[in-house]
Amino acid sequence: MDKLKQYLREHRENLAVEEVPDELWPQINNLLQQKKSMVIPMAKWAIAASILVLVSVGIFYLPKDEKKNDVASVQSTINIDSNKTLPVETIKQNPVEIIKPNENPIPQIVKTETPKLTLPNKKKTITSKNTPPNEVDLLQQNFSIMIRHQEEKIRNTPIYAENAGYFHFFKKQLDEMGNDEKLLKEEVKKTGWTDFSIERLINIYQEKISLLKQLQLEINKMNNRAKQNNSTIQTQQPSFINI
Amino acid sequence: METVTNILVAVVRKAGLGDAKAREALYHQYSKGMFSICVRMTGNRADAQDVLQEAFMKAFNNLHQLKDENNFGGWLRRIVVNECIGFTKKNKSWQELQEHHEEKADDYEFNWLEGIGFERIHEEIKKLPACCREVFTLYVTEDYSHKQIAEALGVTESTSRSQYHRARQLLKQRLLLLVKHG
Repeated sequence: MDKLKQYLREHRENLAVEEVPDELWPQINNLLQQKKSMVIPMAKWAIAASILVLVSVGIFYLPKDEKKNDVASVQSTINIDSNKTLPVETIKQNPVEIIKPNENPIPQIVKTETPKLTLPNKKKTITSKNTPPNEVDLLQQNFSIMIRHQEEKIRNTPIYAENAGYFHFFKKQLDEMGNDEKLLKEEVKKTGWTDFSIERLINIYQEKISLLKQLQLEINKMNNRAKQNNSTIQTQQPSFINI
Repeated sequence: METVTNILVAVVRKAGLGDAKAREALYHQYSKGMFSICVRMTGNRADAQDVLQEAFMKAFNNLHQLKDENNFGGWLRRIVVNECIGFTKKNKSWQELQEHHEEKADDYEFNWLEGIGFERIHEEIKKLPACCREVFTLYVTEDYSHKQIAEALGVTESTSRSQYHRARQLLKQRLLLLVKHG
């Protein structure tokens, strides 16, 4: 055994003799705070995500509801004519034959009579045929919509005064976040989704959106400055960021 | 509910939740030791400061990955050493030493080191030439094998060995000279 190595290893705590510069902790703390301020509180995002989920679920079902309503009105017209309640399936099989504009000249009358009819389990029939998509998928879809929207906005914003390459730092950061997302998803393939991994995914999306907003702000700021100082505006050929 | 009896565990958990005071406490607890490693690896305080800053940022931002809070010190040390290795790889070009280092019997005795203060030893390690200084630090104080050093720094095992012998010889010469001249 190398005795020098053994001796110094045994006393390695005694080799901790360098005094740390006083300014280092404030620097680290500042950087940590900056990163923290970029992340919008979880609760706000949870609310925003829930609203988005509700809205998209609404959008997902809305057109189908209208179609069902059409079927329902067809059903009601038959019931009026025949004074019988037919099962929904029977109506769906042959709706065109039943509704003919000429045979139903006064639709208002039909509508006034519909309250008398009973349409049991109409809603149940609709929902039971469509199982709701996975919550995590919905979450991802909703965040993706927000991110795409923000990216699209940036792509279409002309940049005066500076070249698009000036914002390279933001692109680099976005790439890193993309890699983080990839790694997380690979990890999830093995372990499945947990509360913790979902939270990490939300964090990545939040940071992406914040960064994109920050980038948009930077571009706007530079454009405003350039507009105030007309000489620097490259009005002929503005550049665009390719995100 | 789990009761946290260990102060370190409690502080690490709070730091993981973003508590600034807990982070500061951990920083003050470990920064001196970690900074000394960085100085020995980089050879100067300015680079060591940059490396240490990066290491603490990584540690605080990835605290959720730490499985055993009791092991925070060891975990942080690994991050710091890895940052130092990254810095070395980025900034140094390695050369195979042509000279042959004979391993004499007294190379592996250390009586000459006894009585020399650790501050002096640290100072002389700091002044070792680049490359052999990093190998010496990794091999001696961080307990890396030559194989691990070779893999980490992207050099051959024989380079690691020869750099280590060179460092030992230089350190011995310089420290003995210092002792001789008081």
